[in-house]
Amino acid sequence: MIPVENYFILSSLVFLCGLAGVMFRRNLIMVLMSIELMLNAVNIIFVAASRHLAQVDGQIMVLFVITVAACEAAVGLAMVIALYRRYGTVNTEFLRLLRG
Amino acid sequence: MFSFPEITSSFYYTAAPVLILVAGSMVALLQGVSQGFASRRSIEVTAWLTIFAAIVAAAVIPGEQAEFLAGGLLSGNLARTGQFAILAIAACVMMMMREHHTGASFFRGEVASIFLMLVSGMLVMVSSDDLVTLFVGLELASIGLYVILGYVQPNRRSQEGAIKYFILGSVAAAILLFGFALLYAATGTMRLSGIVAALPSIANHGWVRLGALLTLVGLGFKLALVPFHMWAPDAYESAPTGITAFMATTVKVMILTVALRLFSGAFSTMSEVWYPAMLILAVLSMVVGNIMALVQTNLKRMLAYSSIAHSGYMAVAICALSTTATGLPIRAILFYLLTYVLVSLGAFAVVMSLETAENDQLTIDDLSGLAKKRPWLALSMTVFMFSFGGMPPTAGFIGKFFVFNAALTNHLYGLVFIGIIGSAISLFYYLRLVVRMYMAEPVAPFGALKPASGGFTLTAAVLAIAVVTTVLLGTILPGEVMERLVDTATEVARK
Repeated sequence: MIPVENYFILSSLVFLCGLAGVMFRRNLIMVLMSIELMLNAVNIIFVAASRHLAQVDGQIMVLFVITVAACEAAVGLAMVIALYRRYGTVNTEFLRLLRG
Repeated sequence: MFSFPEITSSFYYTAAPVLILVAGSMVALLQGVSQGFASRRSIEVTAWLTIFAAIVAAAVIPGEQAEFLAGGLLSGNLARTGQFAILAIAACVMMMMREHHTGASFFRGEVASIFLMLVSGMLVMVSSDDLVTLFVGLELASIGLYVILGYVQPNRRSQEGAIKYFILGSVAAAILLFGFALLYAATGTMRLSGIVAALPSIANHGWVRLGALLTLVGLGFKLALVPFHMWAPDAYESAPTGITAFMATTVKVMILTVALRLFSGAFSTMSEVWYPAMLILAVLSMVVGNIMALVQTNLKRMLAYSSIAHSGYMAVAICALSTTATGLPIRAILFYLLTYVLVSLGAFAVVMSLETAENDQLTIDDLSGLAKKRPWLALSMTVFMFSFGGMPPTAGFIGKFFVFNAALTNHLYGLVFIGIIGSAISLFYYLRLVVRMYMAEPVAPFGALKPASGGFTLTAAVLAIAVVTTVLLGTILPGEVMERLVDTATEVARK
């Protein structure tokens, strides 16, 4: 039997990958995907904990997280399209109007 | 055999504001796509009716504590006060938006619908004990704000601010959720109160500590505490000023309510993790926020950095929760929050009554010599700047007094010292604005600023209420208000 801590470690690693993606990628689509990765990393913990504790609470939470992540992705993509129409690119280096 | 819990009338009383807002939001959305009811006038009727009905409903939420939907919905003093505050702010912001040049694009079906919906998310946030509901409420409020930020005035500036706010806000939500997940895994309960009750026995576990730390980081992000403040100046500067005023006040109300529910019972048990982290956030916010505000030329950006500094002062009071006597810090936080909300609304109302469609990014220089042109506006701005700077006889002085008093009672001398230094720095840029308004000659001709309308305006009404309350809270009312906060403080501390 795999101890539940291993799932926490896996989840932390995936979460850190997502965080690194948000911090270092310059393409907004990649940033959005990294945010999804972070939310799904959290889902691993919820499912693992829910299984470990023999409860369904964690799995119900996962359903909500997936739904919310979909809403976020929809809004995020809409914003990216609006920016693409204005700048002709989805690179974050063009976002430099607001400084200081 | 499973049976559904009986739904009582007090459930409907407690849920009424949220239900009214959701219903109103749906009506506004349908109106937006309808043939005959999509005009600004009819959308406004829906929005105003909804918000007033919700305010009335929030005022009659039962004051005694009860829980419904397995903790998903709470009644009680804190829930009632928080809901009432958020709805009152929303109503004030709608009044100001009505006369602002962005009013026409704000009172459109889809924007009004999203606005009402995000307010309902905030109400859920302040009256919930369940992690699922808290997360959904938080995201409802946040996603609504991302959309409104970039959509009311879709120009380069606001779209850039919206995407930056979106990315950092989503990261914050993910970090908060990661913390929640670890706390759930450790305690086996999705209830905030259950987590608070279970923490003492497992506080030394590594994963629990990580979860607690990440929860604090997530809340710190949303409160715009340094070093998690990067989104705030950009979002505040780029948003239409009414939305800035709304964001700057309601987000702090809802996040601090959740923070109080979590920290008031558990801060002393987790103080090895939370106390140093909160200490660093408080010190950095007060120092960096005030110093950065010093060098700003854009008025809204200066107010954004000043709001970061004010979050720092509230974090000082949260640090004071580390001892067992939590009543005083809780009341200090609530009082400080009240003064902050009032003064912020007022200051942004001044900005809004000077903005025009051509000049919607006011600089500090634009206000030079304002006292000659618009004496009443200059006077109100002076009162607000005195209050932000913590000078008597305004509410800000009493608020800082209570916060520092709570911190001194808990022997946080260094923190209070840094807070007072920060206040001294802040006086420089607050008073510089006052000096500009009263002593300087106008640099630019006033053509760019909106001329006085002469008659009665709703923005002026909000301004007048904010000024009078700020002065009253600084002179005769503080004792009375603190008395009334005792019930709320004991309710929060009991859990």
